[in-house]
Amino acid sequence: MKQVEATAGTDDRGDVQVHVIKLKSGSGIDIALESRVKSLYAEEILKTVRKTLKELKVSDMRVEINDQAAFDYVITARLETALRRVQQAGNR
Amino acid sequence: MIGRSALFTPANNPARINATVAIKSDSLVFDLEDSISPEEKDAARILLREALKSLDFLGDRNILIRVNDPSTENFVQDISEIGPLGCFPLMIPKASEAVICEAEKELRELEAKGSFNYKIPMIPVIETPSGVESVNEILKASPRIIGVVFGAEDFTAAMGVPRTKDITQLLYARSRIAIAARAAGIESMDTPFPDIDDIEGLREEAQSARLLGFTGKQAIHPQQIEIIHQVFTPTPEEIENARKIVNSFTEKGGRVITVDGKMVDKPVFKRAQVILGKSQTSARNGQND
Repeated sequence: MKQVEATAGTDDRGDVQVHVIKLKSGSGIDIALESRVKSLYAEEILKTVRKTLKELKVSDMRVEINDQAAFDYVITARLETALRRVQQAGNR
Repeated sequence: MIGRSALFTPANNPARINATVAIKSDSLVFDLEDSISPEEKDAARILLREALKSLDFLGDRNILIRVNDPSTENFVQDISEIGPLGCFPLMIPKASEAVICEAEKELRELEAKGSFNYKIPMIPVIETPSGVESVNEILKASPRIIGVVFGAEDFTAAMGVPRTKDITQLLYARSRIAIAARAAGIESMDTPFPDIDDIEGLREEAQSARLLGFTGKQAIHPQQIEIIHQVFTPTPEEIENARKIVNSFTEKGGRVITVDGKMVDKPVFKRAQVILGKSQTSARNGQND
């Protein structure tokens, strides 16, 4: 079966690129984080990602974050965009 | 209120959105239309929605949003994301009577569905020959209209004429729009000046806009704002003269008088009142900020 995936955001400074891959039911959430401010803000970023996933009721998904020191609102927005796109890709 | 200046920012660029904290324009325009590619429209409107929810400094600013063509699905999605957040005026591109009526219909539906306790204002962008020719009807097409702006790039393209520094080809359109706005009692913004490095060219074009009756000018770069504010803010001499006229005319019970050797009647008195009103607005917004 073809992997269903989508991306949102850029690698510009202040932005974040989010790549999501739909996992099979029961797999849970798998998050991979790369960030230029990882040593300082990894927990904050992960908290924002988990909160957004919970609000959008996402369960089985791999989320790859490539952060360029984005504010929380950018992370939330890019993640939601990627999730909407993966949903659309799945529907297609 | 739109004010003297409105600076465009693409709504899909976090760095540019964050940088608006230091921008001193009277209004900020977040663009969902021309500066956003079709495949990034979804990302832009979600990013803008989250920015408006999260960035406290935007709460103190006049925010305008240039949305997509109301006859497209993009417009419906734009207002669905942004409409519930508050009463942000929408700049409606390539406005015609039909376009404004379509936007009115969609906004009414959205507001009824969401039980909004506010009506989202509209600002038509006049940027086609037919838009210029029917500007009076466009401004009457919806009670939501609070201002009008002129877009010269699309207008000159549609006319098949170049956009040059000598703006003779824009004179009729700019005059017509500025007069229509005055007749409707709303604000009017002139087209942006495209050459960012030509400060004197900007000043001249802004001065001509003010003489034609526009109340402000759009900006495409932060360094244009100070010049626009200088042009659209009354000078101390103009304010002092206006104060003298208003005080003298009022003291004499509205009779025709002379001030500094010049006749002052009701139209002159009204013009002085407008200058004092502008100076108060400018003072509130920071005169040359």
